[in-house]
Amino acid sequence: MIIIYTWFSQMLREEYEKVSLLKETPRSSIMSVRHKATGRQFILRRFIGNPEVYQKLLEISCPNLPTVYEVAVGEKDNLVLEEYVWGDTLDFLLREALFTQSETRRIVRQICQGLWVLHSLGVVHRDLKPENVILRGSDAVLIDFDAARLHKVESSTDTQILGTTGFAAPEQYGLGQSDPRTDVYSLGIFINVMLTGEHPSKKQAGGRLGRVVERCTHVNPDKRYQSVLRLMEEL
Amino acid sequence: MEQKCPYCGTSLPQEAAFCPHCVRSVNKRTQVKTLSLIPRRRVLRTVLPLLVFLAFLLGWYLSTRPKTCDDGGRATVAYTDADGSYQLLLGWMGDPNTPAPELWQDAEAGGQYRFPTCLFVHDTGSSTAAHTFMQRVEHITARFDFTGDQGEYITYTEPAPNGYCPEAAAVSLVDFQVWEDSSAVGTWTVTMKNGDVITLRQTLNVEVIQTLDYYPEDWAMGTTEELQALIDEIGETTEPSNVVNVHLPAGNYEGDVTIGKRPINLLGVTEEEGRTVFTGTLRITTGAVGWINEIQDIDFVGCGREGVGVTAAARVHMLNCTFTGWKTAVLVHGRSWVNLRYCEFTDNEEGFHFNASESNVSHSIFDGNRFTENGTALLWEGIPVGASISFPENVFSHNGTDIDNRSGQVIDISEAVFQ
Repeated sequence: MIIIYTWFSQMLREEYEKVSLLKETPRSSIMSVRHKATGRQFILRRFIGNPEVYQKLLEISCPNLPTVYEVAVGEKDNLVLEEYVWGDTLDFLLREALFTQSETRRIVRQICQGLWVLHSLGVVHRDLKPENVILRGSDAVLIDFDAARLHKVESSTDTQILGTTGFAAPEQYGLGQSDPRTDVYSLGIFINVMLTGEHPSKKQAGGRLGRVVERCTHVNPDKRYQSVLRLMEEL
Repeated sequence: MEQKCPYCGTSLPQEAAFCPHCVRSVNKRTQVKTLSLIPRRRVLRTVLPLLVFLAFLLGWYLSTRPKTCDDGGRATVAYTDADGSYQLLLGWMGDPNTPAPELWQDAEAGGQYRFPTCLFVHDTGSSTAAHTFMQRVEHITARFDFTGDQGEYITYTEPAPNGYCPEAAAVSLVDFQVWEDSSAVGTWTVTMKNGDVITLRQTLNVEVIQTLDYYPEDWAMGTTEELQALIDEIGETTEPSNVVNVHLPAGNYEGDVTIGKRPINLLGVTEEEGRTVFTGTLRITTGAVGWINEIQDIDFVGCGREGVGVTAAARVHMLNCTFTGWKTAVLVHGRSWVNLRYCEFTDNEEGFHFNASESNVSHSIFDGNRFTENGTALLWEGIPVGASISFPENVFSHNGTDIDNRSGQVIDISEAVFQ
């Protein structure tokens, strides 16, 4: 893996130029870069940590997720080159005006599509918020998987379940189904913010979508929609 | 090892997914199709004839297979191929020679349950029949013929070898949630590499056990004395198999309360009229067996960092409770297990003090808790358990000591926040 990291770093130095630094923390940086010959713009991430989520996304293409072009794993950090998604974040758009019920439904359905792909890959996004959704024309694109992680059912957990029938629910042991519901919770908050501009604890949306918000954000994960598909059906 | 970019000919490392020279992907990608959810009735109208046709085709296809073996609902069948004769049976771990055509489970209405069921394979001369037989198997599927309402389900996980029962050829976990007595036939289909198909069936019968709800409108429980009297009466008069929910009103309970004769769920107020508050100690001494005591939506308010909020020698799950001003907010001892979810500990000498042994872990994830301004937030003593205990989305803020792990318990704090 080090070979590809060295080679890729060199190619980036020779054939790409930095456009702007978008975000920097002690463990990561995100910048936009431009391919000198074609002028095409990309996002380049450099971060310390597990690159597995991005490696999974290398293999798929979905209109509601940015395309990940390359993942180079180094000894100290990792490089990820991904699509530069042109458009405005929902956070930016929400400063101007709220969304109507039908706009909210359409956008959230598209985000559900992206989340469904992630969940199918065993990935939970865990940082769903208006800053992380870009409207590219009529497509809502979910970005920033820095907080995402793979959800794995450990064999020791399975062993623990066996033999305790009759006393406790699978969800109580943290099986795979429970974690995607974290994203369902965030979607509930998200819908409420699109409609009211506020967190549901301050101002809850009314009508049918208000009831959807209520169910998404139930404190007990068992009482939320059990998958984003169920939420899509409701929408 | 190198590869050439198929578009511009640039040399790329073998693992490269992208040519940075001509900015084109060189790996294979799966194009995810857009999900379009069509109303179910329309789906039925359009897909049903197709399904019927496909079922007909499938029937015809199966009828042309070389051989099919059916157990006739007995959960056991004999199968012979060119290499030998085998007995296949569905049964329980530890009893590989007794078929289990009928499975019986008690369950609470709406509760989610999981248990394993095993496929055993025997032949006349070998104790390693499972291994040799599985080498001839193409694949195994298992499915229940159950369609429930309101989120009900009865399903198998994909059958596969499992360390839980090494002598079984395959193990599947049965997951179910029902609201009323239910029955479903499960079918295991074993497809051999030579085209033969073997089917085995077992019927799962779920009997819903009674849940008893005690409401303040119907039962005296407004004072500590009345609540204790009610708990004692429930202990004397209910069957051990019943699940008991006591729905507490808003208001203060002063003085100690003990749950000792049988597990009871204490459910505080979640509506707008206020919270249920305990200012004395709640003792739970129902031991390491039986139902879990569910304690939800209750504020335990101490004074001057003295006394114990909850002391448990029992199986207890606490959800959405708060603890303030105790010497020890929650003390776990004896052969017991206590789990916390979405609870808040503020201004206690000790927040959660685990000092139990031989614990039968019923829940290893302590998610969403908040520990603020405690002397010691978590004190872990006693005998460590085998499972890793995780604290996702917990917040530790301004405590003297966040975690004092004296027993060496394996704890996962990778998703906790320390401020």
